[in-house]
Amino acid sequence: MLQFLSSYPWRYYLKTFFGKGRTARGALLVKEDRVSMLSQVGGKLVFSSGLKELKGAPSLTNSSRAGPGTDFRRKALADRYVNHLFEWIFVVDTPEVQIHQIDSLKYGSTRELTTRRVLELVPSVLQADLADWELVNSKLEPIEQDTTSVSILLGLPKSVIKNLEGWSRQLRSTVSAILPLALVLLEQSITLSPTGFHVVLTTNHTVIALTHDGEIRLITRVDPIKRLGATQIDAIIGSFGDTFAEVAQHPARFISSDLSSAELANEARDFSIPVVSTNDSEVLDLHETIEGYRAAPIEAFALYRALCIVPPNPYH
Amino acid sequence: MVAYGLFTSRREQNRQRYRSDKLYRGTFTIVVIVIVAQVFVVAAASALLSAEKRIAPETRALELRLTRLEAEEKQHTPLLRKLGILTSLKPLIVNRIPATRLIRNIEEAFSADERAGLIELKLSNHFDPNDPNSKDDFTILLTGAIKAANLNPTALLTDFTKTLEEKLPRGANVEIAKNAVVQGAEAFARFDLKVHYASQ
Repeated sequence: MLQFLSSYPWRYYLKTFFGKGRTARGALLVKEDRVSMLSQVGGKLVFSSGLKELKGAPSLTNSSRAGPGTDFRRKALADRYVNHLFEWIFVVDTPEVQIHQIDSLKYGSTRELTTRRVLELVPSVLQADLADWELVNSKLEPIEQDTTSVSILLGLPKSVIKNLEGWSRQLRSTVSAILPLALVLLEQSITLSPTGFHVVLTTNHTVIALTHDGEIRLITRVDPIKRLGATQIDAIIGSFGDTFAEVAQHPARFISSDLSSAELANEARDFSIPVVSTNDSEVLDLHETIEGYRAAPIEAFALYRALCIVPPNPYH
Repeated sequence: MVAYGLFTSRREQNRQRYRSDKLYRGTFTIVVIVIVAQVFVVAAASALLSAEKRIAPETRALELRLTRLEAEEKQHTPLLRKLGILTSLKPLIVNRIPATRLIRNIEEAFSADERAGLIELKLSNHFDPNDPNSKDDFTILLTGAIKAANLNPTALLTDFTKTLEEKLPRGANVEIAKNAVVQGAEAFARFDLKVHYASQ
Protein backbone atom coordinates (compact mmCIF):
# COMPACT_ATOMS: atom_id res chain seq x y z
CA MET A 1 0.00 0.00 0.00
CA LEU A 2 2.79 2.40 0.96
CA GLN A 3 4.67 1.46 -2.17
CA PHE A 4 1.55 2.12 -4.22
CA LEU A 5 1.02 5.52 -2.59
CA SER A 6 4.65 6.51 -3.00
CA SER A 7 4.53 5.51 -6.67
CA TYR A 8 1.14 7.13 -7.33
CA PRO A 9 1.91 9.74 -10.02
CA TRP A 10 -0.41 12.49 -8.83
CA ARG A 11 1.98 15.23 -9.99
CA TYR A 12 2.00 13.70 -13.48
CA TYR A 13 -1.79 13.44 -13.49
CA LEU A 14 -2.05 17.08 -12.44
CA LYS A 15 0.36 18.23 -15.14
CA THR A 16 -1.41 16.20 -17.82
CA PHE A 17 -4.93 16.83 -16.48
CA PHE A 18 -6.02 18.65 -19.63
CA GLY A 19 -4.22 16.34 -22.04
CA LYS A 20 -0.88 14.66 -22.52
CA GLY A 21 1.82 16.40 -24.49
CA ARG A 22 4.41 14.79 -26.70
CA THR A 23 6.99 12.62 -25.04
CA ALA A 24 10.66 13.27 -25.77
CA ARG A 25 13.73 11.09 -25.35
CA GLY A 26 17.34 11.56 -24.58
CA ALA A 27 20.31 9.24 -24.19
CA LEU A 28 22.96 9.77 -21.55
CA LEU A 29 26.30 8.01 -21.48
CA VAL A 30 27.39 7.74 -17.86
CA LYS A 31 30.89 6.51 -17.15
CA GLU A 32 33.21 6.93 -14.21
CA ASP A 33 35.24 9.50 -16.11
CA ARG A 34 32.78 10.88 -18.62
CA VAL A 35 29.18 11.96 -19.17
CA SER A 36 27.76 12.84 -22.57
CA MET A 37 24.28 13.37 -23.86
CA LEU A 38 22.25 13.12 -27.05
CA SER A 39 18.78 14.59 -27.29
CA GLN A 40 16.69 16.89 -29.43
CA VAL A 41 17.17 20.64 -29.35
CA GLY A 42 14.86 22.56 -31.65
CA GLY A 43 13.97 19.47 -33.69
CA LYS A 44 17.57 18.34 -34.20
CA LEU A 45 19.63 15.77 -32.33
CA VAL A 46 22.46 17.48 -30.50
CA PHE A 47 25.40 15.66 -28.94
CA SER A 48 27.08 17.22 -25.93
CA SER A 49 30.15 15.78 -24.26
CA GLY A 50 32.30 16.68 -21.26
CA LEU A 51 29.33 17.04 -18.92
CA LYS A 52 30.87 15.11 -16.02
CA GLU A 53 32.36 18.27 -14.55
CA LEU A 54 29.01 20.04 -14.36
CA LYS A 55 27.47 19.99 -10.90
CA GLY A 56 24.30 17.89 -10.86
CA ALA A 57 25.42 15.49 -13.61
CA PRO A 58 24.32 11.85 -13.15
CA SER A 59 26.74 9.54 -11.42
CA LEU A 60 27.13 5.78 -11.13
CA THR A 61 28.48 5.86 -7.62
CA ASN A 62 26.22 8.34 -5.82
CA SER A 63 22.80 9.83 -6.25
CA SER A 64 23.81 13.33 -7.30
CA ARG A 65 21.28 16.11 -6.91
CA ALA A 66 19.96 17.51 -10.18
CA GLY A 67 18.28 20.48 -8.52
CA PRO A 68 17.01 23.48 -10.49
CA GLY A 69 20.06 25.58 -9.65
CA THR A 70 22.71 23.08 -10.70
CA ASP A 71 25.07 23.72 -13.60
CA PHE A 72 23.99 20.56 -15.35
CA ARG A 73 20.38 21.62 -15.40
CA ARG A 74 21.15 25.20 -16.32
CA LYS A 75 23.73 24.52 -19.02
CA ALA A 76 23.38 20.96 -20.30
CA LEU A 77 19.60 20.68 -20.15
CA ALA A 78 18.83 24.15 -21.46
CA ASP A 79 16.36 24.03 -24.40
CA ARG A 80 15.99 20.25 -24.07
CA TYR A 81 12.59 20.44 -22.33
CA VAL A 82 13.32 17.79 -19.73
CA ASN A 83 10.07 17.42 -17.80
CA HIS A 84 7.52 14.79 -16.76
CA LEU A 85 7.14 13.71 -20.40
CA PHE A 86 10.86 13.13 -20.92
CA GLU A 87 12.33 9.62 -21.06
CA TRP A 88 15.97 8.85 -20.44
CA ILE A 89 17.97 5.99 -21.90
CA PHE A 90 21.12 5.56 -19.86
CA VAL A 91 24.17 3.94 -21.41
CA VAL A 92 26.56 2.93 -18.66
CA ASP A 93 30.04 1.51 -18.37
CA THR A 94 30.98 0.21 -14.95
CA PRO A 95 33.38 -2.59 -13.91
CA GLU A 96 30.48 -4.48 -12.25
CA VAL A 97 28.63 -5.08 -15.54
CA GLN A 98 28.39 -8.84 -16.09
CA ILE A 99 27.86 -10.64 -19.39
CA HIS A 100 27.43 -14.42 -19.50
CA GLN A 101 26.46 -16.68 -22.32
CA ILE A 102 23.99 -19.37 -21.27
CA ASP A 103 22.23 -22.23 -22.95
CA SER A 104 18.55 -21.45 -23.53
CA LEU A 105 17.67 -25.09 -22.91
CA LYS A 106 19.11 -24.73 -19.45
CA TYR A 107 17.04 -21.61 -18.88
CA GLY A 108 13.85 -23.47 -19.81
CA SER A 109 10.48 -21.77 -19.83
CA THR A 110 10.17 -18.11 -18.98
CA ARG A 111 10.59 -17.67 -15.27
CA GLU A 112 11.41 -14.77 -13.02
CA LEU A 113 15.13 -14.14 -12.91
CA THR A 114 15.75 -14.37 -9.18
CA THR A 115 19.22 -14.46 -7.58
CA ARG A 116 18.82 -18.17 -6.95
CA ARG A 117 17.86 -18.77 -10.55
CA VAL A 118 20.89 -16.76 -11.74
CA LEU A 119 23.18 -18.86 -9.53
CA GLU A 120 21.67 -22.00 -11.02
CA LEU A 121 22.33 -20.73 -14.54
CA VAL A 122 25.84 -19.41 -13.88
CA PRO A 123 27.33 -20.82 -10.65
CA SER A 124 30.48 -18.70 -11.02
CA VAL A 125 28.57 -15.42 -11.05
CA LEU A 126 29.82 -12.76 -8.64
CA GLN A 127 27.68 -10.86 -6.15
CA ALA A 128 24.46 -12.13 -7.70
CA ASP A 129 22.28 -10.57 -5.01
CA LEU A 130 23.75 -7.09 -5.51
CA ALA A 131 22.86 -6.99 -9.18
CA ASP A 132 19.72 -6.86 -11.29
CA TRP A 133 19.62 -9.43 -14.07
CA GLU A 134 18.22 -9.45 -17.57
CA LEU A 135 18.19 -12.17 -20.18
CA VAL A 136 18.29 -11.40 -23.91
CA ASN A 137 18.38 -13.72 -26.90
CA SER A 138 21.12 -13.98 -29.51
CA LYS A 139 19.62 -11.00 -31.40
CA LEU A 140 19.66 -8.93 -28.19
CA GLU A 141 15.86 -9.05 -28.13
CA PRO A 142 13.74 -10.07 -25.13
CA ILE A 143 13.97 -13.82 -24.60
CA GLU A 144 10.16 -14.07 -24.38
CA GLN A 145 9.91 -12.72 -27.92
CA ASP A 146 12.12 -15.37 -29.51
CA THR A 147 13.90 -18.09 -27.57
CA THR A 148 17.11 -18.67 -29.51
CA SER A 149 19.53 -21.44 -28.58
CA VAL A 150 22.05 -18.94 -27.23
CA SER A 151 20.96 -16.47 -24.54
CA ILE A 152 22.93 -13.74 -22.85
CA LEU A 153 22.64 -13.04 -19.15
CA LEU A 154 23.39 -9.43 -18.28
CA GLY A 155 23.97 -8.10 -14.80
CA LEU A 156 24.07 -4.53 -13.56
CA PRO A 157 24.57 -3.35 -9.96
CA LYS A 158 21.37 -2.37 -8.20
CA SER A 159 23.08 0.70 -6.80
CA VAL A 160 23.76 2.02 -10.32
CA ILE A 161 20.11 1.56 -11.28
CA LYS A 162 18.97 3.22 -8.06
CA ASN A 163 21.30 6.19 -8.54
CA LEU A 164 20.29 6.80 -12.15
CA GLU A 165 16.56 6.39 -11.50
CA GLY A 166 16.83 8.68 -8.50
CA TRP A 167 18.60 11.29 -10.60
CA SER A 168 15.93 11.04 -13.31
CA ARG A 169 13.15 11.30 -10.73
CA GLN A 170 14.53 14.62 -9.54
CA LEU A 171 13.84 15.95 -13.04
CA ARG A 172 10.32 14.36 -12.93
CA SER A 173 11.34 12.33 -15.99
CA THR A 174 11.27 8.56 -16.46
CA VAL A 175 13.79 5.91 -17.46
CA SER A 176 13.13 3.87 -20.61
CA ALA A 177 16.14 1.58 -20.21
CA ILE A 178 19.61 1.32 -18.80
CA LEU A 179 21.97 -0.27 -21.30
CA PRO A 180 25.55 -1.43 -20.76
CA LEU A 181 27.82 0.45 -23.16
CA ALA A 182 29.40 -2.81 -24.32
CA LEU A 183 25.98 -4.07 -25.40
CA VAL A 184 25.22 -0.91 -27.39
CA LEU A 185 28.63 -0.95 -29.10
CA LEU A 186 28.21 -4.64 -29.87
CA GLU A 187 24.81 -3.99 -31.46
CA GLN A 188 26.40 -1.17 -33.44
CA SER A 189 29.22 -3.44 -34.57
CA ILE A 190 26.80 -6.22 -35.56
CA THR A 191 24.80 -3.69 -37.62
CA LEU A 192 28.00 -2.90 -39.58
CA SER A 193 29.19 -6.55 -39.86
CA PRO A 194 26.39 -9.09 -39.34
CA THR A 195 28.82 -12.02 -39.66
CA GLY A 196 32.24 -12.27 -38.04
CA PHE A 197 34.14 -11.48 -34.88
CA HIS A 198 33.42 -8.39 -32.84
CA VAL A 199 35.75 -6.98 -30.26
CA VAL A 200 34.18 -4.27 -28.12
CA LEU A 201 36.66 -2.27 -26.09
CA THR A 202 35.50 -0.11 -23.21
CA THR A 203 37.34 1.28 -20.22
CA ASN A 204 36.20 -1.59 -18.03
CA HIS A 205 35.56 -4.51 -20.37
CA THR A 206 36.48 -6.32 -23.51
CA VAL A 207 33.55 -8.13 -25.04
CA ILE A 208 34.35 -10.67 -27.74
CA ALA A 209 31.50 -12.04 -29.79
CA LEU A 210 31.09 -14.17 -32.84
CA THR A 211 27.98 -13.56 -34.94
CA HIS A 212 26.38 -15.11 -37.96
CA ASP A 213 23.72 -13.19 -39.90
CA GLY A 214 23.29 -10.79 -36.99
CA GLU A 215 22.87 -13.52 -34.40
CA ILE A 216 25.38 -14.06 -31.61
CA ARG A 217 26.80 -17.57 -31.54
CA LEU A 218 29.49 -17.05 -28.93
CA ILE A 219 30.09 -14.23 -26.50
CA THR A 220 32.42 -13.64 -23.60
CA ARG A 221 33.49 -10.75 -21.43
CA VAL A 222 37.06 -10.33 -20.28
CA ASP A 223 39.12 -7.60 -18.67
CA PRO A 224 39.94 -4.45 -20.63
CA ILE A 225 42.63 -4.73 -23.28
CA LYS A 226 44.92 -2.38 -21.36
CA ARG A 227 44.96 -4.83 -18.44
CA LEU A 228 44.68 -8.13 -20.29
CA GLY A 229 46.87 -7.40 -23.31
CA ALA A 230 46.24 -7.98 -27.00
CA THR A 231 47.85 -11.44 -26.94
CA GLN A 232 45.23 -12.85 -24.56
CA ILE A 233 42.40 -11.45 -26.62
CA ASP A 234 43.97 -12.80 -29.78
CA ALA A 235 44.07 -16.23 -28.12
CA ILE A 236 40.37 -16.09 -27.23
CA ILE A 237 39.48 -15.09 -30.78
CA GLY A 238 41.61 -17.99 -31.96
CA SER A 239 39.72 -20.47 -29.76
CA PHE A 240 36.40 -19.08 -31.03
CA GLY A 241 37.66 -19.47 -34.60
CA ASP A 242 38.37 -23.12 -33.97
CA THR A 243 34.72 -23.68 -33.06
CA PHE A 244 33.23 -21.71 -35.99
CA ALA A 245 35.81 -21.99 -38.75
CA GLU A 246 33.55 -20.62 -41.51
CA VAL A 247 32.84 -17.44 -39.55
CA ALA A 248 36.50 -17.01 -38.64
CA GLN A 249 37.28 -16.26 -42.28
CA HIS A 250 35.70 -12.81 -41.89
CA PRO A 251 37.85 -10.04 -40.45
CA ALA A 252 37.31 -9.14 -36.78
CA ARG A 253 35.62 -5.79 -36.22
CA PHE A 254 37.03 -3.66 -33.42
CA ILE A 255 34.87 -0.95 -31.91
CA SER A 256 35.47 1.44 -29.05
CA SER A 257 34.02 4.72 -27.93
CA ASP A 258 37.06 5.42 -25.75
CA LEU A 259 39.85 4.97 -28.26
CA SER A 260 40.36 7.14 -31.29
CA SER A 261 40.55 5.53 -34.74
CA ALA A 262 44.36 5.70 -34.61
CA GLU A 263 44.55 4.20 -31.14
CA LEU A 264 42.16 1.46 -32.16
CA ALA A 265 44.21 0.66 -35.26
CA ASN A 266 47.29 0.56 -33.09
CA GLU A 267 45.69 -1.93 -30.68
CA ALA A 268 44.47 -4.10 -33.54
CA ARG A 269 47.89 -4.21 -35.19
CA ASP A 270 49.19 -7.11 -33.14
CA PHE A 271 46.32 -9.50 -33.90
CA SER A 272 46.91 -12.64 -35.92
CA ILE A 273 43.64 -12.35 -37.89
CA PRO A 274 42.50 -9.58 -40.26
CA VAL A 275 41.03 -6.69 -38.29
CA VAL A 276 38.66 -3.79 -39.21
CA SER A 277 38.67 -0.79 -36.90
CA THR A 278 35.33 0.97 -36.78
CA ASN A 279 35.65 4.67 -37.54
CA ASP A 280 33.22 7.50 -38.11
CA SER A 281 33.64 7.35 -41.89
CA GLU A 282 31.58 4.15 -41.80
CA VAL A 283 28.67 6.08 -40.38
CA LEU A 284 28.15 8.29 -43.40
CA ASP A 285 24.94 10.09 -42.48
CA LEU A 286 26.12 10.96 -38.98
CA HIS A 287 26.82 14.61 -39.79
CA GLU A 288 23.28 14.98 -41.15
CA THR A 289 21.70 13.30 -38.14
CA ILE A 290 23.65 14.54 -35.13
CA GLU A 291 24.90 18.02 -34.45
CA GLY A 292 28.18 18.20 -32.56
CA TYR A 293 29.14 14.57 -33.18
CA ARG A 294 32.74 15.45 -34.09
CA ALA A 295 33.77 15.64 -30.43
CA ALA A 296 33.37 11.84 -30.13
CA PRO A 297 31.80 10.29 -33.26
CA ILE A 298 31.52 6.66 -32.08
CA GLU A 299 30.19 7.74 -28.71
CA ALA A 300 27.60 9.97 -30.40
CA PHE A 301 26.61 7.14 -32.69
CA ALA A 302 26.42 4.71 -29.76
CA LEU A 303 23.95 7.05 -28.06
CA TYR A 304 22.04 7.37 -31.32
CA ARG A 305 21.87 3.56 -31.57
CA ALA A 306 20.70 3.43 -27.94
CA LEU A 307 17.82 5.73 -28.87
CA CYS A 308 17.00 3.42 -31.79
CA ILE A 309 17.17 0.03 -30.08
CA VAL A 310 14.87 0.85 -27.18
CA PRO A 311 11.26 0.53 -28.38
CA PRO A 312 8.67 3.24 -27.74
CA ASN A 313 6.96 3.35 -24.37
CA PRO A 314 4.33 0.57 -24.46
CA TYR A 315 2.36 2.18 -21.65
CA HIS A 316 1.47 5.24 -23.77
CA MET B 1 15.45 -4.12 -30.29
CA VAL B 2 16.03 -4.65 -26.60
CA ALA B 3 13.13 -4.84 -24.19
CA TYR B 4 11.57 -1.58 -23.05
CA GLY B 5 12.46 -0.99 -19.42
CA LEU B 6 15.67 -3.06 -19.57
CA PHE B 7 17.42 -2.82 -16.20
CA THR B 8 14.81 -0.52 -14.74
CA SER B 9 13.53 -1.26 -11.27
CA ARG B 10 10.05 -2.52 -10.51
CA ARG B 11 9.33 0.82 -8.88
CA GLU B 12 10.20 2.67 -12.10
CA GLN B 13 8.11 0.26 -14.16
CA ASN B 14 5.18 0.67 -11.78
CA ARG B 15 5.58 4.42 -11.98
CA GLN B 16 5.20 4.30 -15.74
CA ARG B 17 2.38 1.76 -15.57
CA TYR B 18 0.44 3.92 -13.11
CA ARG B 19 0.92 6.95 -15.33
CA SER B 20 -0.97 5.32 -18.18
CA ASP B 21 -3.43 3.28 -16.15
CA LYS B 22 -6.96 4.47 -16.93
CA LEU B 23 -8.36 3.31 -13.59
CA TYR B 24 -5.78 5.23 -11.55
CA ARG B 25 -6.16 8.29 -13.73
CA GLY B 26 -9.94 8.05 -13.46
CA THR B 27 -9.67 7.75 -9.69
CA PHE B 28 -7.45 10.81 -9.62
CA THR B 29 -9.93 12.76 -11.76
CA ILE B 30 -12.75 11.84 -9.37
CA VAL B 31 -10.61 12.84 -6.37
CA VAL B 32 -9.80 16.19 -8.00
CA ILE B 33 -13.47 16.81 -8.78
CA VAL B 34 -14.42 15.93 -5.20
CA ILE B 35 -11.72 18.24 -3.79
CA VAL B 36 -12.76 21.10 -6.08
CA ALA B 37 -16.39 20.53 -5.09
CA GLN B 38 -15.36 20.58 -1.41
CA VAL B 39 -13.51 23.83 -1.96
CA PHE B 40 -16.64 25.36 -3.48
CA VAL B 41 -18.78 24.05 -0.62
CA VAL B 42 -16.36 25.41 1.99
CA ALA B 43 -16.19 28.77 0.17
CA ALA B 44 -19.99 28.97 0.01
CA ALA B 45 -20.33 27.94 3.66
CA SER B 46 -17.77 30.49 4.84
CA ALA B 47 -19.48 33.20 2.77
CA LEU B 48 -22.81 32.31 4.36
CA LEU B 49 -21.27 32.26 7.82
CA SER B 50 -19.64 35.65 7.40
CA ALA B 51 -22.89 37.06 6.03
CA GLU B 52 -24.75 35.59 8.98
CA LYS B 53 -22.24 37.11 11.39
CA ARG B 54 -22.64 40.46 9.69
CA ILE B 55 -26.44 40.51 9.99
CA ALA B 56 -26.60 38.77 13.37
CA PRO B 57 -27.24 41.96 15.49
CA GLU B 58 -29.94 43.05 13.08
CA THR B 59 -31.52 39.58 13.21
CA ARG B 60 -31.43 39.57 16.99
CA ALA B 61 -33.13 42.98 17.13
CA LEU B 62 -35.81 41.83 14.71
CA GLU B 63 -36.38 38.66 16.72
CA LEU B 64 -36.74 40.70 19.90
CA ARG B 65 -39.19 43.01 18.22
CA LEU B 66 -41.12 40.06 16.87
CA THR B 67 -41.36 38.53 20.34
CA ARG B 68 -42.55 41.81 21.76
CA LEU B 69 -45.14 42.16 19.02
CA GLU B 70 -46.31 38.63 19.60
CA ALA B 71 -46.78 39.36 23.30
CA GLU B 72 -48.68 42.53 22.47
CA GLU B 73 -50.82 40.68 19.98
CA LYS B 74 -51.67 38.13 22.68
CA GLN B 75 -52.67 40.97 24.99
CA HIS B 76 -54.99 42.48 22.43
CA THR B 77 -56.56 39.29 21.24
CA PRO B 78 -60.21 40.21 22.17
CA LEU B 79 -59.88 43.59 20.53
CA LEU B 80 -58.37 42.08 17.44
CA ARG B 81 -61.18 39.54 17.27
CA LYS B 82 -63.71 42.37 17.36
CA LEU B 83 -61.79 44.26 14.73
CA GLY B 84 -61.82 41.15 12.61
CA ILE B 85 -65.59 40.89 12.88
CA LEU B 86 -65.94 44.56 12.00
CA THR B 87 -63.63 44.16 9.08
CA SER B 88 -65.71 41.28 7.80
CA LEU B 89 -68.83 43.45 8.12
CA LYS B 90 -67.27 46.39 6.32
CA PRO B 91 -68.62 45.52 2.86
CA LEU B 92 -72.11 45.18 4.30
CA ILE B 93 -71.92 48.55 6.01
CA VAL B 94 -70.43 50.28 3.00
CA ASN B 95 -72.96 48.83 0.56
CA ARG B 96 -76.07 49.60 2.63
CA ILE B 97 -78.25 52.65 2.09
CA PRO B 98 -80.16 53.50 5.20
CA ALA B 99 -83.95 53.14 4.90
CA THR B 100 -84.37 56.48 6.61
CA ARG B 101 -82.90 58.18 3.57
CA LEU B 102 -85.61 56.67 1.35
CA ILE B 103 -88.32 57.55 3.85
CA ARG B 104 -87.00 61.11 4.01
CA ASN B 105 -87.11 61.36 0.22
CA ILE B 106 -90.73 60.13 0.24
CA GLU B 107 -91.69 62.59 2.99
CA GLU B 108 -90.07 65.40 1.05
CA ALA B 109 -92.12 64.47 -2.03
CA PHE B 110 -95.35 64.55 -0.05
CA SER B 111 -94.40 67.83 1.63
CA ALA B 112 -93.70 69.39 -1.73
CA ASP B 113 -97.19 68.61 -3.03
CA GLU B 114 -99.95 69.91 -0.77
CA ARG B 115 -102.68 68.10 -2.74
CA ALA B 116 -101.36 64.63 -1.80
CA GLY B 117 -101.05 63.20 1.66
CA LEU B 118 -99.41 60.15 3.15
CA ILE B 119 -101.60 57.75 5.04
CA GLU B 120 -99.48 54.63 5.48
CA LEU B 121 -95.90 53.46 4.67
CA LYS B 122 -94.79 49.84 4.83
CA LEU B 123 -91.08 49.12 4.27
CA SER B 124 -89.56 45.71 3.80
CA ASN B 125 -85.89 44.81 3.03
CA HIS B 126 -84.70 41.58 1.43
CA PHE B 127 -81.18 42.00 2.74
CA ASP B 128 -79.49 38.71 3.76
CA PRO B 129 -77.20 39.32 6.76
CA ASN B 130 -75.49 35.93 6.29
CA ASP B 131 -74.32 36.82 2.82
CA PRO B 132 -71.38 39.31 2.92
CA ASN B 133 -72.16 40.31 -0.68
CA SER B 134 -75.83 40.83 -0.02
CA LYS B 135 -77.23 44.32 -0.77
CA ASP B 136 -80.24 46.25 0.31
CA ASP B 137 -83.37 45.48 -1.66
CA PHE B 138 -86.18 47.73 -0.43
CA THR B 139 -89.86 47.43 -1.28
CA ILE B 140 -91.99 50.28 0.05
CA LEU B 141 -95.78 50.23 -0.14
CA LEU B 142 -97.32 53.68 0.17
CA THR B 143 -100.92 54.50 0.77
CA GLY B 144 -101.90 58.10 0.18
CA ALA B 145 -104.85 60.27 -0.60
CA ILE B 146 -105.65 63.18 -2.92
CA LYS B 147 -108.37 65.74 -2.19
CA ALA B 148 -111.51 64.95 -4.13
CA ALA B 149 -111.87 68.66 -4.94
CA ASN B 150 -109.33 68.21 -7.66
CA LEU B 151 -110.84 67.70 -11.03
CA ASN B 152 -108.53 64.93 -12.22
CA PRO B 153 -106.92 62.98 -9.37
CA THR B 154 -105.43 60.45 -11.82
CA ALA B 155 -103.42 63.13 -13.61
CA LEU B 156 -102.38 64.57 -10.29
CA LEU B 157 -101.17 61.16 -9.10
CA THR B 158 -99.11 60.78 -12.28
CA ASP B 159 -97.43 64.14 -11.58
CA PHE B 160 -96.80 63.13 -7.96
CA THR B 161 -95.32 59.84 -9.05
CA LYS B 162 -92.86 61.68 -11.34
CA THR B 163 -91.90 64.06 -8.52
CA LEU B 164 -91.35 61.13 -6.18
CA GLU B 165 -89.12 59.36 -8.70
CA GLU B 166 -86.97 62.50 -9.01
CA LYS B 167 -86.58 62.72 -5.23
CA LEU B 168 -85.61 59.05 -4.80
CA PRO B 169 -82.07 57.80 -5.56
CA ARG B 170 -81.26 56.72 -9.10
CA GLY B 171 -82.47 53.22 -9.83
CA ALA B 172 -85.58 53.53 -7.71
CA ASN B 173 -88.73 52.40 -9.44
CA VAL B 174 -92.19 53.76 -8.61
CA GLU B 175 -95.33 52.10 -9.89
CA ILE B 176 -98.98 52.84 -9.23
CA ALA B 177 -100.58 49.88 -7.48
CA LYS B 178 -104.00 51.51 -7.10
CA ASN B 179 -105.03 54.64 -8.96
CA ALA B 180 -106.71 57.59 -7.25
CA VAL B 181 -110.41 57.36 -8.10
CA VAL B 182 -113.13 59.43 -6.38
CA GLN B 183 -115.89 57.21 -5.15
CA GLY B 184 -119.25 58.72 -4.22
CA ALA B 185 -119.16 61.61 -1.85
CA GLU B 186 -115.72 60.87 -0.32
CA ALA B 187 -113.56 63.90 0.29
CA PHE B 188 -110.32 62.08 -0.56
CA ALA B 189 -109.40 59.66 -3.33
CA ARG B 190 -107.06 56.95 -1.97
CA PHE B 191 -104.19 55.58 -3.97
CA ASP B 192 -101.45 52.92 -3.48
CA LEU B 193 -97.85 53.21 -4.77
CA LYS B 194 -95.14 50.55 -4.82
CA VAL B 195 -91.57 51.78 -4.62
CA HIS B 196 -88.70 49.39 -5.33
CA TYR B 197 -85.09 50.19 -4.79
CA ALA B 198 -82.07 47.89 -4.87
CA SER B 199 -78.67 49.40 -4.01
CA GLN B 200 -76.11 49.28 -6.86
